[in-house]
Amino acid sequence: MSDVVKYIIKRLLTGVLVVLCVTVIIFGIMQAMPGTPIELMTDTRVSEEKVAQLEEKWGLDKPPVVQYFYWLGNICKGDFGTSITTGQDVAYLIGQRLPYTLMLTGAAILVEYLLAIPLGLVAAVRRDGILDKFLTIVMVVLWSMPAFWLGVLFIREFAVNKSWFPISGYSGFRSLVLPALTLAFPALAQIFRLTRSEVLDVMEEKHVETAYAKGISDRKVLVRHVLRNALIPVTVTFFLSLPWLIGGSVVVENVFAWPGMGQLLWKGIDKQDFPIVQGIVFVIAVLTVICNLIGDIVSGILDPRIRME
Amino acid sequence: MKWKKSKLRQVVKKPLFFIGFFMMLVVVLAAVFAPQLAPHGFADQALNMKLAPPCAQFPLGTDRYGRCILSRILFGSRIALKVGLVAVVIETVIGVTLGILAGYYGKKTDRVIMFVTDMIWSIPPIILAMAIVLLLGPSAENVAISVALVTWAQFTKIVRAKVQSIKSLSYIEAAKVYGESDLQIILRYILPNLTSTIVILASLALPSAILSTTSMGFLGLGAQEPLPDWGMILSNGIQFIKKAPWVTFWPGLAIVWTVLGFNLAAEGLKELLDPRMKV
Amino acid sequence: MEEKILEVNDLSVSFSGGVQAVSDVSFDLRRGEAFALVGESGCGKSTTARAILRLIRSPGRITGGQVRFEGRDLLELSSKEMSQVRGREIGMIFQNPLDSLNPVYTIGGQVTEGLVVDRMEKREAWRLAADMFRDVKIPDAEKRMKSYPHEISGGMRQRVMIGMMLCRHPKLLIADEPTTALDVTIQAGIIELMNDLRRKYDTAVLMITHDFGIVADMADRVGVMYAGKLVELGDVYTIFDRPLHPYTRMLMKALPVITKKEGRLATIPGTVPDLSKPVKGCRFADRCPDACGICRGAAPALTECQPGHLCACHKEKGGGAHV
Repeated sequence: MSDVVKYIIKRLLTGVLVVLCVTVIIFGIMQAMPGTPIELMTDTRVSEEKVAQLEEKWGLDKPPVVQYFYWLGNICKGDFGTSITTGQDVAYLIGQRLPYTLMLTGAAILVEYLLAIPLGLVAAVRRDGILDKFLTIVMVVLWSMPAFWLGVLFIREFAVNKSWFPISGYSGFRSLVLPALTLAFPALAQIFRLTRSEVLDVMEEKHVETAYAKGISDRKVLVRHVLRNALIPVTVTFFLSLPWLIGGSVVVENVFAWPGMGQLLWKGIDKQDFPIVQGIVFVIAVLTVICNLIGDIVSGILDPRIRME
Repeated sequence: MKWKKSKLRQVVKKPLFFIGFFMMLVVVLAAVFAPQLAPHGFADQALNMKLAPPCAQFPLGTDRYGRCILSRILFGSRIALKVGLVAVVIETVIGVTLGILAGYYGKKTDRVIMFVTDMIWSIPPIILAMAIVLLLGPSAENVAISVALVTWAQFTKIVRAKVQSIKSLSYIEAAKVYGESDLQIILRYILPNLTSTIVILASLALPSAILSTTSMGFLGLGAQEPLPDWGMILSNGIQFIKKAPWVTFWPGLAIVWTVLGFNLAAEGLKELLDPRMKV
Repeated sequence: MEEKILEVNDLSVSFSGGVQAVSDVSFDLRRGEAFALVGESGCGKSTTARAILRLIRSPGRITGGQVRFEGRDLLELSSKEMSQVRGREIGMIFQNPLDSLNPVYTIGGQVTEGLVVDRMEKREAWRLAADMFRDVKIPDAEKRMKSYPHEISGGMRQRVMIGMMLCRHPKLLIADEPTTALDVTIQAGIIELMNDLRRKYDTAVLMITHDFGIVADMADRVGVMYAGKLVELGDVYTIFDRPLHPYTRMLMKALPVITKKEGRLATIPGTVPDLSKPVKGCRFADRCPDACGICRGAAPALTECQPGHLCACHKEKGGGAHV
């Protein structure tokens, strides 16, 4: 038991280190920007005292290393600064939008998992059959599909022509459907292919033959012994690929004017609103590290061999 | 040689590979002969023909400035291919170098490189790329650089594992005993053994690089107007999705066509060189 | 004569490319008897064993014959009926105990899985499995049940496999090279254990092996296979005293005394014929020191040379062409 705790603590520390390094990178990029931070962070019409106050708070008169720790300290206190363009509190803005991004990615994850794994299993069981070949082609096409175009096609077909769903924005569950599918579909291919190849690999393993020899029914062998074991690498990859999904949400949120963090980030980049960009990248880095940690823990639960290490 | 021939025959039999190769060829030809094929210049505006539907003069219609969509797509293929290729070359160089260093030297070098790799891995690539473009300024070249800087990690991981297995081979040990330098060993024994791995990885990375660059273009971070970036043409057409669907449809199809073609061809190449490799 | 529990009649299995891995193999087992199927690797003995339980995976398939178990032809059963035979009436243990257990479940969970299929209550199954573990001489049975396969040694895993397959008291246990992957020192213990349990539960054993040492330790009767065909069949004493088929004689000469794991194939010159094409004549002709014209012209039939001793060779009486 203490081994498990030790393992989790170790992973947690690595995670914190990763977040720190990410903040260094982001801070470095911001530092390398042309223009003084004060110019970048404030409006030109800001009064002298206000500038002095900001310099004090962010330590802008100090060397960059010191500034970094000021910034980090403020972040830890939950102070992400204020937006240059709107003057709103960044933490408030993020807090307002984070739930929508989580809702969108969560729904996409659900769709991805619920579709990709059963399809991958079916394709593997009916290997080289018509269904397998068909699914393989569909998945390559999806894999090659830019999410924004898929979104546009969905909007045209199901929101404009058929008006089954709202075109954009958020107005209840129905507006979630198209963005979630758009986000999930291109990512589907990866999990599908992995599930298929892992299931095929596990089917070759000797312990599956043992299970048959024990008289376990075909379906139970497939679920309890084949799929169960194949899910280990699938789950690990799934959690590792979450950053891609979160990244993809930036694009999808823009297509559907989804009121999430991605759209805020894009606007921040467009308007060079650095406090917003820094804050969001920080939050996403933390989210990613949490996902990876969950991935590690889940794979540890699924695979007793990992628990030992 | 005989073995290779039979292998080639096996791959050639796969229709998907052929289709992919054909699709790829179409894109390359379109890029090379864009000036000859395009009915108009990519920036030519026909101000009386704004958002015109497909017609004889403009086979795929026009955008909001009355520019020919077909011509913009044809010229845009040059940007897509160039940016994708540059990105893949840079990421291959970075990723393979770090992978060899990590795999060959092991120990501390390995740990440091793997930590950086894991870190890059845990930042959503498109977001890091956006930050880098923000620093460098939006342009096609900077998109290539930023995409390369966020995607090399996949090369490093696989190359490292491969180098680790090659390193333990007896002739490498023998070369060491003979007193050959690390650089000699890497160049003469390790790199040649990595060729097929690198070719496969690079060919699979190309379509995803193209896809990523179009995403950046869609967010307005790629080549700037009036240059015809596919992603940007599409994003500029979204507001006319009801009135002029062709503005968004055709560039999207061009992206899918290109990425799909390169993907299928890359799969075929992988099948030929190392069908069992896991990517 | 005792009742026959298993009759294999003219069993044939082929793989993709028309490879006839097993052709027209017939033999039988009596209740409680130990029968050994011997041959080099690739001779079709493992395929025969799998075919009995219908564990042949595509692209392989059973192309003909009968497998009568207690009167029923197993090849005619539905897949549901077949899974009721597997494990419950016929158990099987495999060559490599490392891979034969699922790494993600506890040993106890895997052993009781089959019992639970028989609608036994979980706690009862657990208790029964623990009893069985004591039978197969696994120390600390209760504790081991909660271990995962990677936590115990190879020999221990094979004991788990044996216990797992015997805890439902099948009438027949098929053992596919159960000791090959184990250390020589552990092999003897496993064989001894199998012998003990066989007597205790009166289980018939079909032993697949390439090792005449194991045959001598265990078997009542022996069948020798070569290139997918049964070439000799008889009582273990008869076969050891007076092997008739030249292949059997060479195989016994090749009996490895010191190193049990290598050097077996090298001692018999020549190669096995390509089974993807129909073989004209005796399959062993190319490697046989006594081969002559007829051997290459016609395939010898498996015929009874003495009561209970069958041989497929033109040179033996009853072989059809004693030249």
